[in-house]
Order: sequence, then structure tokens, then C-alpha cells
Amino acid sequence: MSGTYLAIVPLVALFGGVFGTYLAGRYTRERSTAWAGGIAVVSLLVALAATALLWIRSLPIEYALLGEGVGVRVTALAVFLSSISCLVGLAATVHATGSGDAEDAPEVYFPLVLAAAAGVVGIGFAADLFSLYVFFEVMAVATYALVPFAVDRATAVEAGIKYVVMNAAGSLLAIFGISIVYAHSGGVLDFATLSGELATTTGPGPLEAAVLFLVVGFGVKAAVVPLHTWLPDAYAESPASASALLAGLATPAAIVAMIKALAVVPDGVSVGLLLLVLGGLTMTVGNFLALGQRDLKRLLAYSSIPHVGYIVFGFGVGFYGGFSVAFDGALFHVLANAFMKGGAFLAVGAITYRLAEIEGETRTLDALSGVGYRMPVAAGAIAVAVLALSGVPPLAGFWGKLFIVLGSAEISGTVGVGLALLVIGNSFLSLGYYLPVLGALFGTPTDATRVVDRTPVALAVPILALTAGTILLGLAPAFGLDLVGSAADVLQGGLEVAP
Amino acid sequence: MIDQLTTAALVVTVLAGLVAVAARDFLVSILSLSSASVALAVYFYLAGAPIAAVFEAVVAAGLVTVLFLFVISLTETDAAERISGAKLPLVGLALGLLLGVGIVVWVLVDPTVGGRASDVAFAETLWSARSIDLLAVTVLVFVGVLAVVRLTAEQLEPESDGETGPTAGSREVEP
Repeated sequence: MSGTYLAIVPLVALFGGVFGTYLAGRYTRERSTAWAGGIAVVSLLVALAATALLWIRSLPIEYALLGEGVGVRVTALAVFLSSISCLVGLAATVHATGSGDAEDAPEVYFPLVLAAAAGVVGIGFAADLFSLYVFFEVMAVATYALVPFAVDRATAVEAGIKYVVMNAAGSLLAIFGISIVYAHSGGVLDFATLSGELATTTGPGPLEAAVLFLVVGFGVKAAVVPLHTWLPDAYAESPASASALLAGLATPAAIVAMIKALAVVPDGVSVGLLLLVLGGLTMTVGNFLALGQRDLKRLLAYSSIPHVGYIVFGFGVGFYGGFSVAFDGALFHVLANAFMKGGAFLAVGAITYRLAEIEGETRTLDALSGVGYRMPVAAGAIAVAVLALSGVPPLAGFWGKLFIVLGSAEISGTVGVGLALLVIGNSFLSLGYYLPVLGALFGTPTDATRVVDRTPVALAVPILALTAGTILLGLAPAFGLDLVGSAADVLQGGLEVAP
Repeated sequence: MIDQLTTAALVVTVLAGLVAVAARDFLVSILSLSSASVALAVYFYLAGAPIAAVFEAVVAAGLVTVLFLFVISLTETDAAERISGAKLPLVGLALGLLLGVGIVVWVLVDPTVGGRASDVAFAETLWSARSIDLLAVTVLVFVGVLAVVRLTAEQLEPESDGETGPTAGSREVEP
């Protein structure tokens, strides 16, 4: 097929951007944030445009760099991840350019953001299990440095250490799981044939061990309970744009990477049940942990854990009964999460940015009281985001949860009803910590919030864009379901490519 | 010839592994662990598993080394200082040595001789069969270097734009 080189364009654009932003940040006058940020935006836009062009072609498209060997394979899932990655990357980049997150070292910050985005794109594009791991590592290593980016703050470095040590251990387990799959399949790693190959091998045997290693290995980065302990510190201590990137992109992408690796496992191994239990545990524990948090950024960080739970739970239901509606729901929630969590963290960043000019304590709910009257854009974005996160109807977070509930209800008998009620109950539980946020944002203003400046324009643009996404995706879910449905079919079909 | 090389690779693996455990200096430890992985990769290749050899070389010698360098630059300023300062010649020497081992093996081993090595050449596996991974690992190593630079830089600078943090303050040098 002519023109298949387009398949490699998103990756090459982002990889090129990694080096380009470094050079721009390093060698322009006074290490200009604007230049590096501008180049980052351009490479993300090129990647996004190439992704859009790929989507209108007939998929899958395969491309190998030197014309042979393992290359990339563009499926609907790849387009899905690539779109999310470019959109969240764009928002984070624009925000970082305006807010001074990258001020210290733009020649390091922007390459790291682009590398994290490129890693996620690669997770989608990876044609075999080993490439998947390598791209997962690109994403992980980039975020290792983003978390402790404020190196002069001891708490940030502490969060970074926790993050790196736990995730490095997880990575080793994941590659060990992949090696078991490799041994079991007789040296086949290509997704196109892997699931068929595994189905013909006799008995599950070591595959069960491989599944455990893959779940635990990728599960650390995905913050599945009980492997979530790095998350609150990491999210709360990283710069706002990096938090948005982590919460909106990196963590959900880690779940998708895990599911992509697990999708090839034949039916004999009970992947579904395992994910169901872990997902249920993650959302319940996460919600209880978030209750009673008074620091807004930390509260949002904790509230990311239940959303990991919903997504994992949705995939679990999907694998358990082969229900496509649950796959759709889980992937839709990945998409919605990017807008909701991305917007919320960027908005918190904008408020902190303004309040930091006035007083020291800037993130507790008491200190933020009434900030909504002076900074309606940022506070409004947080309000929309927390409503969407708790699953209030016409917003993006509602549909993913609805599909997951519908999927759970398809499991026959009281078990199905119980699982559906678990998801619904957790959604109501989450109102317990989201409503106080709303109350605080529009409460009685404090001395500081009475005089605080309005949201800067450069920060308002990405915040409004993500908030608009949250609202539009809720009003017209068909807009996202087109892509989500095709991507879910790829996962459900075990990533096989029809010959 | 192949037999001696196999034995040599195993001996180097074990010795480098021992050094990795025994060394007091983190950097020596990491580099010898990395050498052990390279030697093990050579052994894998000689034993007729070129793909496993590539994985071992890429993951263990590449990724894991980057990870360890990270953790150390995060945990101890002293160790970070040692990496960027006095031990630079050592890093260069070790990397040169690794490269040397690779080239020697490349030259010495002819996969058609002996019948134990697989018919898929290591070079072919590395450069054409897994070129996309190689590209990704290149970016990964670059990102890793950037990260280490970021995590060590500020702590090593005596002053950071007026706001002297606790570490910076204690490090200030008299002019």
C-alpha cells in the first residue's frame, strides 16, 4: 500500500520534538520557554494531524522502519491513544508555557512532556509485546523526572523517589511476565498472531503466572490498589501541567498497556475475574481514601484512584463475560478521564499560580474559599470537572460509568446486580468529597481570594478547551463512541489481524 | 573458539555480578551490573538465542542502568556528585570496554561456523528486525540523561537565583 509511511509520522514527529525542544530550550536567548513550548506545540499538532489522517484510512496499517522486521501497526486502538495523548499533551504544553512550570529548565521540561506523550502513542502503535514494553518504559522514564521536577523542594524529591522505586520494580515484573509469554508461545511476540499461538499451546500452565506478573507489573504504574501508594504524593508534588499529564494520560495509558498485553491471553485463564476483583477493590478503597482530604490537589490525586478502579473494573467485566458494552465503557472512561482530570489539575494549577503571589497556603479548601468569584474560569472548570468525575448526567464521566454498569448487569443473577450496585454506590460515595469542593470554591471569600487576579489567558485557553471537551463529550457521546467502539473491538478481538 | 568465548562470557557475567554486589561505590556497582548483562547477552547469543540476547542487552544493559542511575541521583547528592565529577573517566572507560567487548565478539563470531549460533545474525536482529525498539531506546536514553541532568544540576550549583535552599546554602564556596 502506498503512503503507509504516514503510520510512523506521529511517532517521528514527537521523537523529533524531543530533540527539537531540547535544542530550542538550550540554545536560544536566555533559554526561552516560548521557543521550546512553541516547537513542542508544533510537533504535537503534526502528530495529531497525522493521527487524524490515519483514522480516515482503512485500518490496520503496518509499517516497518527499514522495510522489514517488527514495525508499528496502526489500529483503531492506536488512533484512540494517539489522539488522547496529543490532546492532553497540547493542553499540558500550553499550560506549562504560560504558568512557569518549565521556567527553570525548559530544555528539560518540554522534551520530557513530549517523550511521555510519545510513549503513550507508542503503546498504541506497538506491534509486538516487547515494543509495547519499550514504549511503556519511554513514558515511565519521562514521568520519573517530571514528578520531582521542583528539585529544590524536599517533598517533591521524596515523592519522586517513591515513584521511581515502585515503578522500576513494577517494570521488572512486567518484563518478566513478557518473557514467560515469550517462552510459552515458542518465541512469538507479534500481536497479530500471538493470541492464536497461545490458544493452541496445551493448557494454561505458566500463562497464569505470566498474567499475574503482567497485572502486577503494569498495575504499579496504573495505581491499582494495593500498588497505589506512590500516587497521592506524585500527583500532588509534581508541577500542575505534569500532574495533568500523569492523571489524564500516563496512568490510564498504563491500564490500556496492561489490557493490551492481557488481551492475547486465551479464555482458559481467568483474567476477567482477577481484574474484576482488583477493580472493585481499587474504586472502593480509593473513594474512602479521598474522603476527608482537605488539600484540593491531593484530593484530586486520591480521587484518581477510584477512576483507575472503574476502568479496570470495566475491562474485568468485559473479559469475564465478553461483553462489548463494558469494553466500550472502560475505554470511554479513559477518554473522558483525560478531559476531566486534565482540566481539573490544570485549573488547580492556575489557582495556585495566582494565590501563590499573595499568600503561602494555597491549596487547602479553606484557603480557596470563595475563589470562584474572582477566578470564574478556573473555578468553573473545577466545578464542571468534579461533577463529571462523580458521574452527574449530561457530562463526560456519566457515559463511561453507565456502560460499565450496563455491562456488569449483563452478568446473570444477583452477582451482576451486585456488581452494578457497587459501581453506582461508589459514584454516590464520591459525591462525599466532591461536593465540599464545590462548596468551598463558591463559599465566603477570604482576604486573599477577595483580591486575587483573574485567570491568566495563556492558562485559561487549555483549561477551557479541556472543559469544553468534558461538556461536549457528555452532550454528544456518539462523538467519542465512534472511535472508542472500534478501539474496543480491537482489544476484544485479542488484537489479531485477519490475514 | 566458540567454546572458549562461551566460558569467557559466563566467567565475566559471574565476576561482574560479584563486583556489583561487593563494590562500595554505587557507580561501580551499576556499571558492573551492566557489564554482567552485556556478557550474559553475549552468552545468550552464542547459545543460539539472538533475540533473547537483544532483549537482554536492551533491557538490562540499557533500561535498567538508566533506572539505577536515576534512583541514585535522586537519593544521594554525594553519589550524584561522584557521577558527574571525578568518576567521569571511569564511566568513559567502562562504556569503551563494553563497546570493545561487543566489537570483539562481532569480529570473532561467524554465525555460520560451529552450528551452535542461530542462523539469524545478531546484527540483523538488532538493526532490522527491531529497529523501532532501537529508535525508542535512543529516545529513552536521551530522556534518561536529561532527567539525570535535571535531578543533579540544581543541587550541585552553589547558588540558585537568590533563593538559597538548605542544600545550596551549605555548599556555598568562598570566592
